[in-house]
Amino acid sequence: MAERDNTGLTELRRGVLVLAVLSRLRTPQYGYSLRQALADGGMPIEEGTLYPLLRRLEAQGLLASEWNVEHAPPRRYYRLNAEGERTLAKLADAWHEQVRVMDGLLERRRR
Amino acid sequence: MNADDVIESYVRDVARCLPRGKRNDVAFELRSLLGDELAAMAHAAGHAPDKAMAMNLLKGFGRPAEVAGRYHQRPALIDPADTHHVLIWTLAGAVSIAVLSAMSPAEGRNGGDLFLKWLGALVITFSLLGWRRRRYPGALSWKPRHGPDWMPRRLAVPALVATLVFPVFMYAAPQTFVRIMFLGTLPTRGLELTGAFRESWPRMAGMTTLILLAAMYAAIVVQGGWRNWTCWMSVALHAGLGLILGAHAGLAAQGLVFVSPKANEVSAPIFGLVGAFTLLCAFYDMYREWARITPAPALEDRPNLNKH
Repeated sequence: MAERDNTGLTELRRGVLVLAVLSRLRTPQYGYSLRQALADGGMPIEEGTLYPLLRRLEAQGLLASEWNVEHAPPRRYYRLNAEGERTLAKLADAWHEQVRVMDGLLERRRR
Repeated sequence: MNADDVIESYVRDVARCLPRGKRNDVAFELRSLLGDELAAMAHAAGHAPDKAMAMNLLKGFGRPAEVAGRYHQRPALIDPADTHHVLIWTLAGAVSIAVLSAMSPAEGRNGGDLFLKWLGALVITFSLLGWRRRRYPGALSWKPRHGPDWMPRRLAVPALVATLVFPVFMYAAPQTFVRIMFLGTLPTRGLELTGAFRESWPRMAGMTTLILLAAMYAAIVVQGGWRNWTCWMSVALHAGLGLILGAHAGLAAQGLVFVSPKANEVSAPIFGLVGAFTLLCAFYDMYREWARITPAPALEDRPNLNKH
């Protein structure tokens, strides 16, 4: 039963992962700092999931990245590009709409 | 081996699973990220990173092949959705090869080799199908088919006539059949049956089975389609006919079917092959009947729904 509950939560979190990551990348972040920022915001993400996701978002044209090799250790910093900003705004609107709809559904259930 | 060696080994194994063009970039970043993670773990633990700490970190990260898969997703060689069909075709191949080997033994044919070739052919075929579906979305899309009961009279009548003309008449009087079919242009002496075979049980059983098969098609014509009993009758008759033809192959190999030794020599493998094919058709029909469902609510399993 506990496993089934976890499965539901995992699916729920997976659905908002991209939105959460994009929301933290208005300022440049490297992998570990982003993970910390998300964890501090209440959204801990496994490193094995987050780091490849950054690459995928970059490949999709939503992020820009650059290496900072001036300081040791060298780190790759990611940030939103223009397309990423547009996508974030669109996803945020969709999220608020989903929250409104779900609140309505859950409220109806409570009554 | 210290913590850095463990990380290096892991990064190497991840990179090895990636396309060549991506290896360097991903490996460099992964090494940096793992270094940050390890440093944070060491900071929390209050001592320098060691091998156990690195192993613990990497365990949470996942197998190198899995991590590489997250960085570069490759399509499955065979679509997971095709697993059921691959299994069915694999089983069908194994049964076909076993039946073929038993009923039509041939020199130089190795069942194990044939099965491996069959598996290879399945992998290639399903990989190509998956590739085509990915490359051309919409290609090979699903199309509706007739149900298992479908057999309109316009098809059932020719099936009945063909059964009466081809196997029944040919089997009952092979010489007359060839004389009529080829307008007397072919010699028929070679098809003369031996007296022993004429009176043998395989011939009686073969004749009976073929007549029953024709009768079954006549019933389908009358009923306008397959019914449950005709489906199972078809399975039983084809299975029986396959075995009977197998027995014919054995008799022909001993020179007991035709008077002409040459005719026996030529017909023995043909009887075997046709018998094996017929038996396989029966197995397929049996599988189809076994797998057949008529969707209906399973109310008996849900007493609460029954009440409403």
